[in-house]
Amino acid sequence: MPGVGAVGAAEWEAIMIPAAAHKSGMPAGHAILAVIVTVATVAIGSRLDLLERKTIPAGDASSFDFGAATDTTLVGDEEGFVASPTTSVVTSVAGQIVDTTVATLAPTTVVTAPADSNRKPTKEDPLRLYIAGDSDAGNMGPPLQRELEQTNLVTSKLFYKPSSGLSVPSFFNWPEKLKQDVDAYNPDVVVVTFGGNDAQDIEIDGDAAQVDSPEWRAEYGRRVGAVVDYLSANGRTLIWVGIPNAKSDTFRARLQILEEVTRTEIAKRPGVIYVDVWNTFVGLSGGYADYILDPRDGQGKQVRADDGFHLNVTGSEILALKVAEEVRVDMRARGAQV
Amino acid sequence: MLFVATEFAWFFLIVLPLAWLARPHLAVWKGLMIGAGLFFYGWWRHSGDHEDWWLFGSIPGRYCIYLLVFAVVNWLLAEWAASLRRSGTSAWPAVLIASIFDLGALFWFKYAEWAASLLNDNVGTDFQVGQIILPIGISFIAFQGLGYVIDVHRDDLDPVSLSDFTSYLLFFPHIVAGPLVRVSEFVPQLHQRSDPKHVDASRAFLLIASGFVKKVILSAYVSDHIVKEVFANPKGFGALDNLFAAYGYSIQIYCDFSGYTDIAIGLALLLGIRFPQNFDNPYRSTTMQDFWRRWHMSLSRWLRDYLYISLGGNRRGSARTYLNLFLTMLIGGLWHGANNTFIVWGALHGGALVVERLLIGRVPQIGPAGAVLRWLATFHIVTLAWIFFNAASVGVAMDMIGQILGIFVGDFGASPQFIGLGLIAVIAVGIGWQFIPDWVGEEVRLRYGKLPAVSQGIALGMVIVFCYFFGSVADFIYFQF
Repeated sequence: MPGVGAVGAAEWEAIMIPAAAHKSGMPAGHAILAVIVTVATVAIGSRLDLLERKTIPAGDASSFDFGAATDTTLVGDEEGFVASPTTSVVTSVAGQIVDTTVATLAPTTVVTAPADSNRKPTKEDPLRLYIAGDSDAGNMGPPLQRELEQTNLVTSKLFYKPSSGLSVPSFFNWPEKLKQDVDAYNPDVVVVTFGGNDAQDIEIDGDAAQVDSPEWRAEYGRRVGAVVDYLSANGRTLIWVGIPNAKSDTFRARLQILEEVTRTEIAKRPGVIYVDVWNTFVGLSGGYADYILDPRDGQGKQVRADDGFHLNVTGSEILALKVAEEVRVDMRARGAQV
Repeated sequence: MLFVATEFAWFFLIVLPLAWLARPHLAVWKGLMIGAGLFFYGWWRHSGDHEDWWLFGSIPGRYCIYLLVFAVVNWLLAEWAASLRRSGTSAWPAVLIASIFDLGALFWFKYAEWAASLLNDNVGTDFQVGQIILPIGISFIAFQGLGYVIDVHRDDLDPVSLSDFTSYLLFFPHIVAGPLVRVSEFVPQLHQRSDPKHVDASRAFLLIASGFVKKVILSAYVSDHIVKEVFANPKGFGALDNLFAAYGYSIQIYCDFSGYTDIAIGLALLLGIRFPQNFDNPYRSTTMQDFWRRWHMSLSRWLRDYLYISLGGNRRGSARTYLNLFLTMLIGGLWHGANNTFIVWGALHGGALVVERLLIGRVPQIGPAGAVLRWLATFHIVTLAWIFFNAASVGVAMDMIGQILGIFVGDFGASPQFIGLGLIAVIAVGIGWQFIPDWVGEEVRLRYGKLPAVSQGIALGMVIVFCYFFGSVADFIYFQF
């Protein structure tokens, strides 16, 4: 076909995708029929549940265990359960959150007994930090690594799996992954964050337990406990980073249950550090907030992504600073000057 | 609307038969295509929000109005250029205004926040532009509008009617991510109606199938299995993981973008419209110049004809030619977005093209081994540039390159975590695919084309189901540009 402009017919043909041979091809009606058949085939595939792969080799739907290798030795002692001197905004007792005071950027961390402080990190033999979790770990991880690696006393490894969590091990088998990475890397300090994708049904013996049912609370608590026990064994410092609240009322209500269960499990285990994210990214009335004051410069800044839940880059940086301070506390306890 | 999303299937099932029914009546066909384009563009799920569908009245809906404004303003300016030309006056004022309008809109949406922050940080100003949401595909629309005005100004093209121009600009297969089709390539096809008895459907179906495999399987695989994680934190991984992440991204961006293009070309073909080619096995290239003849060809031609030639092309001596080449690539880089990483990407390509021109004829040809070396060099320069293209910042890209360079001093760092048979196979397929001789593809097409229409449809459907089963769907990389 000749062009209407300066382009000649030969050049036009060279530019365009090849034309069908003369009188080849099919009538438009047949092409439409073929498209209908294509869509019907895909629709049948959808009916047969073929559009989404259900079986992922790692783990099965109801299993969530670290197996025989799990070492549940705890460190620290019950007496040592004290709030950090700078905070005490939130403490947690048997299944309830007591006092959800306001939102400031003051550290709001529940700290228990001092972590194992045997090994002093040096430039030659730096502290090994392992960061893992869902997409929140992916957002917070890189600024946390940057912040700590500039001390030259920390080497780190980050693994995160978006959309993953503890509720659906068939999607991603965290126990297996954590075991693999902890064995391979032998970290001194572990930072984990889970929960954003977990406020959903958990499959228990083939039945779906709904969030807030006693079964769900018991099972989710068991899973959190298993992860905490595994990661804090052998004198390892575990920093569990909580989740922020959400804009949607229904989603927030579900997350609140999850948050309670998680805190309860962690409070049972002295020596584990819990970073309270929920009460960091809230407004003055304690509700959802898009903007908070950035502690670095005192300016009000947007800290949430536009999905009404995740932290954006600024929010993740603020959180990373908070977590980094907890790591530094641990490093100081080990004799490092940071 | 995403080509690979369910709702698109229903949309296309309705539009396709209507388009062929309307085809004998051009005005009706154009009206239908404009309506379909607006619907396709306006029906967009806001990223990250899994509850709401955004239609008119929402942000993408508002941008539908912008599309119409782009169409009308560029058409009016081309009419003005034509009348100036007819009266013997230079039509450059029309081009100037079109450049200000099209590039100004592009600047506002893509670069205003960046420019304000640069000024505020370095000059101490306090510009607040607020959060600007980039309309999808804005640069494709702006470039096509501006190209049309320049064509009329240069007397390469007679002006076309407003309805021709609007149906061209809003034709849904190319509305969000190209290919950059020109008026001279599109409008003649409206008036020289394609034969409804001979639709090149089997070619279209194979293109759509190849697009799905590239996008939903290959691109998604490398993205999920190495690229995202290593690019997020290059220093957390060893040299080989970093190297394979770079190779992986070369495959990802090719499969993502050419996969999209394949589907776009296939859909247009089913509607009886031929599009220009956009990719011609780019990783087969043995020179950088060759690469740019094969990669995003419709943009390369646009940059050549409207930017490089406007800068003087190769008509002003060799030094000026090199400068023009370098500037064209630098601006081409900046076109992708307001980030230093894109500037480095463009500078690397521009620099490599200049150096290559200087070397041509001065380096002895050393037979087949030379061709292999040239291929390796070309592929690695392109891959090096992609590291900057995808990295969050120049610093992150440098971290990644630093990790990779460890290989040369025996410092491999942490042991590889991602390199397995699956990843190697996908990278090998992504590259190897491009070395399949053209006649093999043609043979497959001929044999497939002999199947009854229903069987062709079932085969395509099964490929799509296969892709969904083994792959995953994410937004196309090029939507952001």
